[in-house]
Amino acid sequence: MTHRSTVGPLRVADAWVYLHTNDESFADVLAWCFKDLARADLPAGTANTTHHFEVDHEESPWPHWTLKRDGETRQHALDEGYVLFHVQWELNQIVLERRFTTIHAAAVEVDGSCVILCGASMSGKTTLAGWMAVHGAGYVADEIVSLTDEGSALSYHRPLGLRHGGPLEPLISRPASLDNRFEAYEMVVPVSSLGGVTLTDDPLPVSAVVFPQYDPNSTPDIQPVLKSVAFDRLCSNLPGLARHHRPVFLQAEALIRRVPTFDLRISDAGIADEMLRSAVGSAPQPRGCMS
Amino acid sequence: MKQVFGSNEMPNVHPDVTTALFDDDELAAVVYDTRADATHRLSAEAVSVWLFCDGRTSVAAMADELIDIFGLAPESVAADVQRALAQFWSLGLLRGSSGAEGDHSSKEATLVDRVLARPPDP
Repeated sequence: MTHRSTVGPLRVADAWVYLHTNDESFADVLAWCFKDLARADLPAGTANTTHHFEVDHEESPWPHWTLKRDGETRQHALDEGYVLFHVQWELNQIVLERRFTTIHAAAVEVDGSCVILCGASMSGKTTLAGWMAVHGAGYVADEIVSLTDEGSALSYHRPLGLRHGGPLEPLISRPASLDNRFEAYEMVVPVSSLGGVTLTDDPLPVSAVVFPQYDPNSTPDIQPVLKSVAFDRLCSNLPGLARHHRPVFLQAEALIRRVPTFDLRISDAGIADEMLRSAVGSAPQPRGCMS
Repeated sequence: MKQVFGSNEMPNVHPDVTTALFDDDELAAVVYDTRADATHRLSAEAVSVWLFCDGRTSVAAMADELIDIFGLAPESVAADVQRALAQFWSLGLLRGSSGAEGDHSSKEATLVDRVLARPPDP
């Protein structure tokens, strides 16, 4: 009988998630990548449901990977370079299913409040969130920021998906023994591996919504953005809008009305960090100097 | 597409459309159509017509109100009102317009896929 390894439980929204695999080296990778979702010191809370994923390596009729969620096949012919990426995608689905108002964004804690970095893929929000976390901000979330009914932001400590060559790559502390077959698309990095990072657990009031735009050839800049423009953009980054409609629209409208909104042009993460903190009223800290 | 609204017609916002009006730094609105799961940002000019789409104000009265409020030239206001209403109609924002009926499941899937876009399967 094939040996199976289990990673978990991971805390994903209000669900517990277990990852099972028949590949021991992949289990090691999973355990490292998702360690920030599996911390023993997570707030107790109540998990309302449990999900099991089986992510297995098959050799016949050709080498491939399969992914099942609670016994249901989700992917039946994955290349190993993409399997980790798909596991992440599945965990995101759980958050989207379990939370009501969700924003496609990253988020960091600055001075006890949450700054939401909202934007499409490649806008620089993940790199900026990671950079700010390394320089004294708390890490709240990446890819999905959920709001409570009261409008506070909820944490989701999924690993960062980073492209090679970015400013965070030199900071990654990754065990040399980990198999690197599974990162063809991007590096999947737990934020805690960047060193000196605080993971924010408690719901936070939102202090700003920022729309980063990465352009390596641009002059860094931060400018207030009109509320209607900000709201229109926010609406295009609300996965819950299609599912829950008007209540999500109204909650997002309330958020945009009560916090400042900015456009942030990024060509350098450090400069963008300084500009953003200046705009929301906090100075960045040297790496390793935590508040 | 409806091209011209009669002067006695009284356009009304479709009940499935929700309006978020912004009038602090600018006059603008973002409207959300539940049926199509679509949002649209309306400019100040469009909003000034939109706010009269209450089912009680005729197209002729809309033009009169805009002339009174903004001091605009009557000959251009009528055309501006018609243009705005035609736009609202084509977007399905007015009662009686067919709207862009959305397939919620596919729209949701599109949005959800954008949250960590799927790589192409091998």
